[in-house]
Amino acid sequence: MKAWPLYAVVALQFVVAAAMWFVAVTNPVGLQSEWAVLLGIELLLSSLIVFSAIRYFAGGNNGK
Amino acid sequence: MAEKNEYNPMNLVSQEKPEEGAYVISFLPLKKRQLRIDYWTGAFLAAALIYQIATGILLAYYYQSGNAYGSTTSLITTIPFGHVLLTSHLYMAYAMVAMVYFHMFRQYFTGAYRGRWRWLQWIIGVALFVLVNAIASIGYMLSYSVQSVLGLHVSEILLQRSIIGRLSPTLAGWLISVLVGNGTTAESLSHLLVLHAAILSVIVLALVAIHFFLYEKSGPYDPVKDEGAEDKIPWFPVNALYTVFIGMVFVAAVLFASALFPQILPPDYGQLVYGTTPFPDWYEMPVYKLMDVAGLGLTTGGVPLVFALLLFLILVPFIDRYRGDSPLDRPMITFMGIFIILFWLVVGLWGYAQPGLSQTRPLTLYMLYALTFCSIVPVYAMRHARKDFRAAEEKK
Repeated sequence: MKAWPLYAVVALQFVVAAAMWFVAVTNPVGLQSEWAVLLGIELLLSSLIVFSAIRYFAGGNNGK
Repeated sequence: MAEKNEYNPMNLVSQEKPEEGAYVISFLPLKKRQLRIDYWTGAFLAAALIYQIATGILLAYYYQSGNAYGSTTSLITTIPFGHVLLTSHLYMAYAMVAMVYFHMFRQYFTGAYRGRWRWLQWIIGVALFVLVNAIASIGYMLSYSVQSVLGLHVSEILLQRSIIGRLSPTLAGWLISVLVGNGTTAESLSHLLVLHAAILSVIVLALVAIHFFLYEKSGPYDPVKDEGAEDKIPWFPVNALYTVFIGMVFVAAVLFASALFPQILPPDYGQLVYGTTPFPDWYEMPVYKLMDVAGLGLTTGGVPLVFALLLFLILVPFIDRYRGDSPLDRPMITFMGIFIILFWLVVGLWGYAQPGLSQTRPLTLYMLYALTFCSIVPVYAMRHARKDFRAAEEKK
């Protein structure tokens, strides 16, 4: 399995995290819909990483 | 001599041999086929529970039962991330109630309640189903909006006039006093808060722990009994990671929903609100409508029917004596499952169409007859169709 897509996902997560920080600082109270959407995107990106780990382990690489 | 440290994270995955005399709780390995999503409806609920606890603790910092409506509005308007916190707590509760239904009926139709310890797991599951609904309803009463207070009043009437109140007014009175204390606003809300955040939720946590322990004792219910025929995949990390994966996607979906449709708090109780019918949340709608249904000679309509259906669900592991595994091999059980689902949906939708309007007895009985017909006929039709298909296959 190639590693670069995972690194790309993590890089994207850093970008989204920066955007979350920006939204949080500029709009601390109020609706925070943007922040919630960004957090949702972060979670989906993390789930991609977890999913690839599942595929790695369930594909016969039982931690050996 | 100290053991050599090996910085290889893969060592975490390797299995340790238990010490002699140790009591081992084993997390069972899975078959690859069991990584299918319908084997994992419980993982959604586990994720929802964790999310509800986390957001609930944060909300508890700001909620004041002495100033229920004021603290809820200030949470929405002045507390950082308060609105998204409250909305996602609400929507995750909705998702949790919905998933409890999915989870329960998935186990029901596959017959997963049959087996050495599975009957106990099922009964605890039904108790959890009731508790999740109760916690959700009480949580909804905490905001002290018009709807929440009306909901509280309806619940009191429900306890008083339902089968509990009929059989034992003392018990009903005691349950009401557990719910609202001496009936003053301050005491009612502090009672509701403690019930919601401490008593019922701790009971749920304890029951979930037993439920999960029993699950790991029996493993996922799988009618295909070819032990050892397939390659097993280890509980750790695959099972754990799959749960985390489902949890992340689930929470993300709830966050998207709460961003798109932020919660709008109904007006404060005590304000003049014209044209407001007491209107419960969607998951309470069937019970609410059943209070109107004037069938069977009961002023509280079908409330005893709810108890009967719950009793049926509790007893189903002992009722189901069919040999077969497929839902079509257990026709009466499948029929009852379809009936309960249809009944719940129809009564709920009826509640939306005509809230608070009493029904005549013939209409109610006609509804029950029609639903029985609609749920029993397809099951037997499919059984006959399957028989014909099998005969045709054999001829080929």
